[in-house]
Amino acid sequence: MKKEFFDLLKSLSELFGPTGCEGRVADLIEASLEGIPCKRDAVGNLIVHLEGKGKKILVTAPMDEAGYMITDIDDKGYVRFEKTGNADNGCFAGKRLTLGNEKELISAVGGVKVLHLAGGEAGDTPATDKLFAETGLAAEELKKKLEKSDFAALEGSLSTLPGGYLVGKALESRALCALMIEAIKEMSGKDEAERNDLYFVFTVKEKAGMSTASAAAYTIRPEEAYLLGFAPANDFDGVDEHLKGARLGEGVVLALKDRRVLYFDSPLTERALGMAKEQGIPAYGADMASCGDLSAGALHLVGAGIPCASLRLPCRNPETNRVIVKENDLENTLSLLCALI
Amino acid sequence: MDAKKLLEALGSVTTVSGFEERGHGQVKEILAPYFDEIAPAGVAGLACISRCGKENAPLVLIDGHLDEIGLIVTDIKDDGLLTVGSLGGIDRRTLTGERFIVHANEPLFAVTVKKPYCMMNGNEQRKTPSMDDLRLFTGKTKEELTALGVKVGTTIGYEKNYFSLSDDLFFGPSLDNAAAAVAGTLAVEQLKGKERGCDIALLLSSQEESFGAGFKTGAFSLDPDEIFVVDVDLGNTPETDKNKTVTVGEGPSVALSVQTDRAMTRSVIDVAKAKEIPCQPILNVKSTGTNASAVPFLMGGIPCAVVSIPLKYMHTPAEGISMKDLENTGKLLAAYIEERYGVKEAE
Repeated sequence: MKKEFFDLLKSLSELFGPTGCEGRVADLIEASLEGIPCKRDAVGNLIVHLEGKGKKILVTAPMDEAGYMITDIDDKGYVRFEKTGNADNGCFAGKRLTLGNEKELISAVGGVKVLHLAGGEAGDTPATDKLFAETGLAAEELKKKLEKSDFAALEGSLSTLPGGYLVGKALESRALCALMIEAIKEMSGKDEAERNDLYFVFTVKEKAGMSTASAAAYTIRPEEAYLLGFAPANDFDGVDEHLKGARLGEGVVLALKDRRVLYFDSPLTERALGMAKEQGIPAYGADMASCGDLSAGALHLVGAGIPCASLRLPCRNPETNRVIVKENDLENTLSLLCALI
Repeated sequence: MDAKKLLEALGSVTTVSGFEERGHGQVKEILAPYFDEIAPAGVAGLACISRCGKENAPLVLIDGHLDEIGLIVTDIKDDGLLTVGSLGGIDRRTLTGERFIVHANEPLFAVTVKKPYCMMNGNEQRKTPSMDDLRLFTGKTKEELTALGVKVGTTIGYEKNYFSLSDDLFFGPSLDNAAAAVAGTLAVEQLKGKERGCDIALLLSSQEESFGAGFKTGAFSLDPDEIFVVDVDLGNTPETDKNKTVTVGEGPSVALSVQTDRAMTRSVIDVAKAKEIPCQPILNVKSTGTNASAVPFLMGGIPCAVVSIPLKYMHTPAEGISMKDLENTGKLLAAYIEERYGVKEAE
């Protein structure tokens, strides 16, 4: 992996950008585009248009990470939350968090009733209304910086493990942003006459199921769309094959269906799998029934309907502070995306 | 002496419950400047002795257990992932996405992995993963792990990351019970240069988090006249019962319990009052949940008091204490010893 790409991924991964507060991520992406023109739409999506003579194609990647909204700050400075997406409350207590809004960022630690007093509750994933966090600041001071409706996300730094693995928070969305930046850079170097008419949309609020990509699609009206997403991996020794989901290191996943969309009829998915085979890029179709909060759910119904294919990056521990992805999966996803568009 | 630095240094030593001897060398090195002698005591314990210079002086024992909670390898799967069991009462609600160090021939970083939350059905999502649901992922293959000495029984500890959220609040793993060792050392430091009529042994005992073997055998080998069990106490947070917890930042807790000696406990509280050291008496009627549980059965009977540092989020990788509480714990121990064994200047 090139150092520049690792550095880009690291900066993207470590940024605070829970659902509803993605501005910092959009800013960094804009800076990483090194002058390639982009604009923000009314909901906060960041859009890059590379004009071309070919087909009008939309590519999307989500910017947000699983997070929480602040619902209360009590008189001792303890903060309470509500989920904004599908965060795993099993990944909160004892973790370092960042609380923040568009201006402020404050370090915090997540808590739950201590084990020794929890009794039977210790065997349950804590309910969101039982979770809390503290910042070390007195309530008065904290309330000057944060208020109800501000946000919280897990903190984490990107690191590597042997065997070509990357570990960090928010990789299930930010790795996709990094790949899309790379794809934009690659496509921007091509001659307009040879190029499709490409729209790249970095979306907000995906994890809340808002599917803001559909807003972009409504304006753009593409002929086809490629959605970058993550494929959860349960690929451990001993798990039944049909329950493993994605497998790290075995290539790009083309979702055959998910919770909201059936892709079986889409010639686009067939085309993607065919293209992968032709180019020697490892890829496989898989049932992503468990994981459907993708933009495609609403996007494929925009206007008279838009043909979609869902390219997914295999992830272990998605939506935790330690998401694990494999380098060759990143490379293969990028290669396949570039080949397709 | 910088208490925070000492706490971080001691907390960073690997002393997983039942495997404390691995850390003895490092602990000795860290504490050597503060004590006259440091020697093994009982089962896998270390006794750090501060002498008063008088013959046949009584001995005050300050127990601060050395062990920390951790994990142990139960199998290496064909895909190189490790299955693990717990050593001590690890809070499974904190194990998702956690970093650990596998104590192989070289330290190996590992991350817990489990079935992705979004792939679970409703029932699975509502339950804390059992140890069987978790794997530790190092990135290495089974063959590589075996070559690095990983086997069934290899211990695993938290990655030691410490941080402050204010000047006073300090967080990280294994403050339970590194904080007690620091409190004991602070007490000895406070008494330096003052004439006194007792020796002090800081007993860093083994296996408090598991079977308690270290305290009983360590105390036996030292034959003390009085015992302070120093541990950490449950600090209140939202969701906890005020009557079962103490408040971080309001001084050490002193246990009121049938396990402890009433007169000694009273005089500890009196000393705190007289010296204006904040302290929080707490009712632990039948059990203090500390090594003091073994005291009533210890040898011929020895007076004992339990003094603890309030700590939030016990048995998580982000245990939190107040540095002020830690210093006051040291002060309180020193004040008691000075009051009882100090040599008053002739008038």
